[in-house]
Amino acid sequence: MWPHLRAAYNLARWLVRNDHDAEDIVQESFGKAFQAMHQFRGGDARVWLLAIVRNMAMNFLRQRRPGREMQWGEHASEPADTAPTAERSLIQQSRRDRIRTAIDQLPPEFRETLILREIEEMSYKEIAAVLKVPIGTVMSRLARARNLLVRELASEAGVGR
Amino acid sequence: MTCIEAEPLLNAYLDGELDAPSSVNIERHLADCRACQAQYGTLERLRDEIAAADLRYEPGPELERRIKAAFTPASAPRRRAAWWAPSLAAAAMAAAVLIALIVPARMSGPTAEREILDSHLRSLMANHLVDVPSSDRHTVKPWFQGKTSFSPPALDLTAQGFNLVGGRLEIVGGRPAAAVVYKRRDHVINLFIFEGGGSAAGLSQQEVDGYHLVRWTAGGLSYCAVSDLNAAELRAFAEEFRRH
Repeated sequence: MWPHLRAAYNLARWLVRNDHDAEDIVQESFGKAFQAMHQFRGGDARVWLLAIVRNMAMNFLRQRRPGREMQWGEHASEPADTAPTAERSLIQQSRRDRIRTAIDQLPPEFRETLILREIEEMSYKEIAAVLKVPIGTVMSRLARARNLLVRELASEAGVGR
Repeated sequence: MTCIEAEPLLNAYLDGELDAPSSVNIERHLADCRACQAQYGTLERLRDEIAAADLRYEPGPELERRIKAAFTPASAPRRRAAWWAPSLAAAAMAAAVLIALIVPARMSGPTAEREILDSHLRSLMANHLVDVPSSDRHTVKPWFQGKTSFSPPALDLTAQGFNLVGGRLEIVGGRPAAAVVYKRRDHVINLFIFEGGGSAAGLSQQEVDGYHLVRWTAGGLSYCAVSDLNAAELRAFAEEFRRH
């Protein structure tokens, strides 16, 4: 399971949008995964773990009082940058922030589909297995998500938020 | 195929998820439909921008420790301990078996490809990816001067979604090579540049042990890009590099 910790954390972090809750969800998910190990019928361990993470995160979002989600203060942390990109230009930085913000504003169903495709590089079939939806739904959610992003990124003024 | 039929398939085509007949149909439609070409171009640019934006959130090092501590017999509630111990041990055993299986599984291939791939893998394992870490091509390119007998180009392909990471000197198969290193998402691309080109004009693509290699020659230099990135995106990298 440990090789999939990064993917689990990344998905949880994108869904719940703060570090603290994402860590709790990953911890609970690993607990659940170990506990339910006997139900694991082979196949892809990453898909199996991410399906658990995804359910936990979605339940968490449903239970959370509306409004709490928009705590932008916690949101400023950047992912650990392994590449030596200290010289990254300001323009690039702000474009990156805009992309991040635009993805954050997508409805969770679109956001998770996009994250699994673009960051985890999963196939439609794997994404469908994580989300427990038909492949056609994966395809249409990705199309909607990308259209929304294109519109959002085009409509924003050049200044990053 | 009409635009109404093509539009929903553009995403699947971009993601390499279409079967061969549908791909051919889309390609035919794209060849003579300006509107769908534009739409497809927009999707490609978005994908490249997302790749370049490096959007992964990394867990802190304490998270793994915390989870292990919570689910190890010593510190877990006594009732629960019985559940974890066997599964953790089983997981550790499975991991050990997996490593044992993976390491000797490396097959032999043609020497040149093998040596280039070995060099790529060494650079990832030895934590010696670059001698000169920089995302600025004006730093990377001059660094090679005096260290190689030729002047390897280091291009800025950020806008195409390939981030320059730096450069490194290599000896591959007894020949000095400049390695220019790029990243796309989590994937490292080592671009090996050798002195001496051939007359071959096109790109040639190979797969060795699940890694992709793309070769070409230009301006008296030969190039070989190697990565665990998928074949289509590595080819796009090579095409962008050649175009600039």
